[in-house]
Amino acid sequence: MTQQLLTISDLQVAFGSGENAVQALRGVDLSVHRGECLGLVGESGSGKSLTALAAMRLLPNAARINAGSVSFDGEELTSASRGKLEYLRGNDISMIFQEPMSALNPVMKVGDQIAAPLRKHMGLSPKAARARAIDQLASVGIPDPQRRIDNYPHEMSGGMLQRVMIAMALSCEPKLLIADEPTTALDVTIQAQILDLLRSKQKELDLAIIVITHDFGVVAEIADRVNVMYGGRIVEEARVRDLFDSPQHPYSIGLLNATPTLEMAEQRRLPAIGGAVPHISEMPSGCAFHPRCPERRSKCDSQVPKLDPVSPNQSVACWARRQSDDQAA
Amino acid sequence: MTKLLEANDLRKVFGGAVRAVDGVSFSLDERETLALVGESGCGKSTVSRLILRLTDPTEGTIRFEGQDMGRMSQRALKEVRREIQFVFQDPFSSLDPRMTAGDIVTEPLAVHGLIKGRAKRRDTATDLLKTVGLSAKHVNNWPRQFSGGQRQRLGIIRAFALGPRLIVADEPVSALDVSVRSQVINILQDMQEDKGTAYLFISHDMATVKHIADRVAVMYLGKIVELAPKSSFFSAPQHPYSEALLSAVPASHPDKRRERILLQGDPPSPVNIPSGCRFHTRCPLAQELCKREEPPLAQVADNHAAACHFAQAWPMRSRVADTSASGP
Amino acid sequence: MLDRIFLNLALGFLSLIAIVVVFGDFIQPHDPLAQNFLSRDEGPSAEYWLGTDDFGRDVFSRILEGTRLSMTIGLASPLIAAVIGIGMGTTAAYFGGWAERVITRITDMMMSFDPLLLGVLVVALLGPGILNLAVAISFALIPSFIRLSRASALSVRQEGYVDAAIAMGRPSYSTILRHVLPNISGPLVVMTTLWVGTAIRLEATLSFIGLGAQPPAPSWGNIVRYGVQNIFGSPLPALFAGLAITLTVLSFNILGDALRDRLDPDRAAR
Repeated sequence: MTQQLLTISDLQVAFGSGENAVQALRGVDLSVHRGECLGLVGESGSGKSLTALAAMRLLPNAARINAGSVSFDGEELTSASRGKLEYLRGNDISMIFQEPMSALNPVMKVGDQIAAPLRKHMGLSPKAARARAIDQLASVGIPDPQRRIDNYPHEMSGGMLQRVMIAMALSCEPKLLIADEPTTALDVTIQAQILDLLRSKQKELDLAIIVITHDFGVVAEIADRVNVMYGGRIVEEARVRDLFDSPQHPYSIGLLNATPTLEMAEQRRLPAIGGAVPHISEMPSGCAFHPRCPERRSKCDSQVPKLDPVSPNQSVACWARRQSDDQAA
Repeated sequence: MTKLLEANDLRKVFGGAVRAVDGVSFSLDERETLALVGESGCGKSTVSRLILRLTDPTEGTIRFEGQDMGRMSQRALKEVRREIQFVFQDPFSSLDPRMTAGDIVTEPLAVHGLIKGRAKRRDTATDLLKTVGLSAKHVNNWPRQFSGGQRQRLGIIRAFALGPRLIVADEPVSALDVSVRSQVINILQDMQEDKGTAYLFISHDMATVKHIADRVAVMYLGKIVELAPKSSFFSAPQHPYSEALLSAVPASHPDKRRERILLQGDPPSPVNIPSGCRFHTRCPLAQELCKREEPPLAQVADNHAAACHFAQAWPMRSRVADTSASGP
Repeated sequence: MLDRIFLNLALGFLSLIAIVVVFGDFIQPHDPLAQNFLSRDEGPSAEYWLGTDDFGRDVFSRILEGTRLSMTIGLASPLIAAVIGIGMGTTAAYFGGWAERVITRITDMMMSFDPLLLGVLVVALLGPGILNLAVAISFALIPSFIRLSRASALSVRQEGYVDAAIAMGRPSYSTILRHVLPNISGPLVVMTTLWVGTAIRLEATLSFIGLGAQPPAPSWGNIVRYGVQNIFGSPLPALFAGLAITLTVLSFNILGDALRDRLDPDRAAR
């Protein structure tokens, strides 16, 4: 049994085809170890959600995987059959979303929605599935689960629905949970509850989690390792402490500095990154960050830097961090 | 001295039963930034709509420079509206998709008849755009051609076009990309410094509030439960809800994960506001008294008010830590 | 591709109609009212391209003249209905309160009648005639305009830029004109186009049952009416007038669909 649970290498995804194709993922390399929580950080258009969808082979119709591989537990997913994928999605990989309300069926009781995958994937009887659904609800901290199981989604608050989603996602004991902005739509106090819940489930079930977020606070709270994405590529990969202690990529540095925190010293102005996040159809050449980068070099606009280790637990894709330039020429 | 803005016992009931704003009083000085914080459904956005007169209060008064806005003639109200402008959260809905950037930023001037003629309007628009780092070539662009951050800048210029004394900013940066947020916050602060505007800054983000505010008001279920100068609020919050909010703010470093004060359950609905202290159903410190009697928003330190029976009685932080340690 | 061809055909046909409406006097080979008892119920000939009816009038000229009348009513009625309906609908949505409740209740009541029935009712009250016909058809179309414009305006009313306009002191009527109307215009233009087709059909139907244009003035509806009565004399008047109605209604429907696709905000934004 290897340490790696999910390995994505050189994944390229485009919307449309031919002349009008828009490259959304431009060669993503990423790995998740068993039982670890990986934070995937990026802004709009960085490709963070698309990476997760591609990993689950749930891409929207217009998008296609053009190159690269996704291997889960030794199994290649880019070429896997539909049946194999359906099996994996229910049993080994599951996903939760930003808007639990839209991910649940509004005219079906939550209990039935939790029980459905149990019956399908674990072959439980209706009665056993219901009992187990109640246990699941209890295990994600929903008070009074015997009564709540017969609620419809609109009878529950956003925080509670996200707990239901987590219960559903974990009901078949997956090895990997992908959480796409799981707390963005929630209030801070509820966000804290959900993050605590995810953390405890990770320990309890030896679960690997990919948390997709735009918020370094969420990463600091929950992640073991971080990948920072920009313009359809990973620009930095590090252990969470190393990233916060010594961010390497100018984008990571800029983002961390630009995020106000409670501990931050009083200052008149916030350090800001200039410019705007580019739209995926207008991605700059070379390193996508170069037009906004304070450490821009001459070759940044023409050549794409590769992810190179700067220490055993940290890699960065940046020309300004290269010790020598010879391998690039 | 007359305050710039004085809200007195504002109440707003929707549909006869939803007590969205349930007795809110505060005041704002010239050039001051008051942050109104709280979670969704606490009524902070309704307060902003009341101040802007987008909706009329069920009860209570709003005075701008001592004048009661509820008793003004249409004409006088239009004049006061020049002095109170706003920046909204959603940079996509706040700009009319069928107007060009130039028309959008000069609209307030045109409405008040302060600008005449196409050429003049265009020149003014160009000047305005330049103040936030946009340029003349953007004048004829449509809103959809701008990024979120740029659109929010258009919203900010529009708000400042009439030289208002007060700007109500309702979550002005929370819909923006992180790397763009700090640019917009800086612009808001620069503009304030430049024009001497006061801000009513509505937000759920404590870290941003700490950066931008002079005073902080915390709302819970339609009421202000704590109102204090920034420094004393962040160093010594007096209401258990404020304390819980602060403890829930995500860490700035993995080694600084906070000791959480976990609140039980979800906020009650504004249709069924609990008896006594409205926070007692979730409060880790709640006593019998709290279920019976509603605590007033009372002075507990210099300029620092909190609506809690036990605000001064215990050293809050240690007390809360004890309770949560022994809790489930 | 096929859509494009149909659209072009429709546009071509409608341009032809437009020419007939504007230059009708110069195109008509005969006086559409002139009777000639020597040539009744004739078939097509060089003299009478589409033959003659049982009064010996030139069918071609009568259909051209009927085009002007039918199109005038077909265009005017939806436009009148649009002005009144959109005005009431947006006002209701914008101000809310009792005005909105009254307007929506009345709309609901009117919508429970079939437009044709409503038209018949109004003509029966006012008496037949071209002007009354236009009034009747407008009246029948108003509720749909109220309903659509109110629904669209309600959603635009929620937009930040409308709040923005109010907060900057823009008067209500000006906010409606400047911000609400332009942003609901797309679906309304589409509906107006589609209703032109309906109005033409309604005109034809009402005239057919004798409640529309009165003889001897020709409209497509009453050409069909008298053509059918005299179908064994000559089938041509009813046939060609019917064809004109069908093609025109079809063309407006094709145009309306194309406009809907073009004005759809999701597609327009690409």
